[in-house]
Amino acid sequence: MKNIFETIADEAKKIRLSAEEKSRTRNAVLFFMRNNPVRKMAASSHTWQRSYSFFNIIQTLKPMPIALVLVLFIGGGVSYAAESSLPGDILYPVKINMNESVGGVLAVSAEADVAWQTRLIERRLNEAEELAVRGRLDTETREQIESNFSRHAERVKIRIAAFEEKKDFDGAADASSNFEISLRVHERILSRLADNEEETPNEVLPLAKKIKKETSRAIRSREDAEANISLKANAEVQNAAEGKRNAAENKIATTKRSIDAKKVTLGATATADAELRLKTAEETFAEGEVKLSAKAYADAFILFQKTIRIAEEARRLVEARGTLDLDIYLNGRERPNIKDDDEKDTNGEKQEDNDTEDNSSEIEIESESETNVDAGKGSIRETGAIKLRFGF
Amino acid sequence: MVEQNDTFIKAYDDFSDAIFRHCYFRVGNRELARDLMQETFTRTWTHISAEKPLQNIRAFLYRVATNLIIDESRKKKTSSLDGLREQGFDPGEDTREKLTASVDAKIVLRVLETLSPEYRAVVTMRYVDDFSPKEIAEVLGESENAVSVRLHRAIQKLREQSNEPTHTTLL
Repeated sequence: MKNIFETIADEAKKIRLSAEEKSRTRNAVLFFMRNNPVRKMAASSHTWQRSYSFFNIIQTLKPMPIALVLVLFIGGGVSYAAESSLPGDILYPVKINMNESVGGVLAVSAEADVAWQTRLIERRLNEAEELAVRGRLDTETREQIESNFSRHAERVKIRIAAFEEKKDFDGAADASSNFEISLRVHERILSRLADNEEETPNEVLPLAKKIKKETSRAIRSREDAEANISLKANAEVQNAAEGKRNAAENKIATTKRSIDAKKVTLGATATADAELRLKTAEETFAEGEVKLSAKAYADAFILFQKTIRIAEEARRLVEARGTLDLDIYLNGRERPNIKDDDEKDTNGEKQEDNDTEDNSSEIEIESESETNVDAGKGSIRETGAIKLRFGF
Repeated sequence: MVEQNDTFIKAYDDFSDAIFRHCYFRVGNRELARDLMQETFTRTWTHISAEKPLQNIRAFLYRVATNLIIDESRKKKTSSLDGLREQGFDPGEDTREKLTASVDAKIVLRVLETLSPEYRAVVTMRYVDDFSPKEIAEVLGESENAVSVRLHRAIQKLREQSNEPTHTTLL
């Protein structure tokens, strides 16, 4: 017969919150936090962030379901449970049609809309990754996700073009930089997952390829926007540069915290790599400061944006490590596996994965023998250490 | 500011289940445990948002929860001990799985209810939450020694209970 203490310990573990209970209380706590803030949120001097501040508040309390937005402004009619559903789940249509349509309704300004579309891309790709990890990504689902992704990506690109037409190069640079970050992070994760797939037909690889293509385009678009900024009158860019500086500083702090928080699960090597990345971000930030004091505002703006990209990508990959249970490091060189056979680079000058930034900004993914993949159709293990590298 | 939000919500994600479980085994009622858990977090946030110092959030959360549980037991004229026996159980909305869990948990709760609140607190923290005596001491704001002594006595009491014939009625 079990001793009484073992019984207590064992049976006790079975008691836990249901997903709905947990998320419902979470929302209540978030709501409470919102109404009892620590201090007023510092206003950013950049117009994009000003009009986006509503979404910023919502999004910094992450991962926050759109449901809370409704609780705050519309008062119900959203399913909390649907928020975490995936394609193929019963509640998924509710998530897409009900929950997300509300988010769309709230995104009125051009900036908020492009941010929202980027967010939708995030959501679709997150779903794809979760499905892949569970071994549930079949052809039909993958195609559905691809087509949704394309739709949102088109919207983003149209918005960016609209910014440029209006000569709002700051807006264009911001939107394309964020778009680029999202795509890069997911490309990394999907590539990693593509290599993990042994059992199910490899649906992740086509998706990873598609994202990769989009990433290159996003990078070019961002570079174009930055080039345009450099052409602007210096004084005009000053505000934007200063706003970006603050954003970059915050981003570094947030990333630092994420790395510290995840240190235990990451392990020594991955932590070291993430910290190296962070260091690069800090150095870039310092360069930006130098430019700022020299009143070279366009250069400063570009450097601060770069800082944000580096730090944010490091942070997101560190977070993904926790959620998807993957080992994704940050440093390395060319990745041989994803062939760019179908990529016809019209410029010709640049190679696909060429590092367009000064520092070595590439990613190495190493899989270790103990890697486990969550739930799904049994565990997937890698034997030995396979190093896959590819560039930014 | 953003940082505190992030950190705090992470604390919720990390500890909400544990705090809920702890409350459940101390008060024996799922709904109440959930409310207490929620209030634990909102009160902790109030502390944070007032920029008061906070060294170890886990210990702090448990301290707040413990205090809320004590307040709760004072509120009812009957202590949770008698309250449990009178009201019977309320495991909450039961899916089949939860039902199984709560049937077994009933045994645990019945056992724990034989202890005084002070003993129940340390035993819960030790066996449900896996706290070391040192960690328990930190939560309760007492010396590690005092906690060890109490734990030892509580365990002895439990052993006595489990050897008695009444124990078989719990199974």
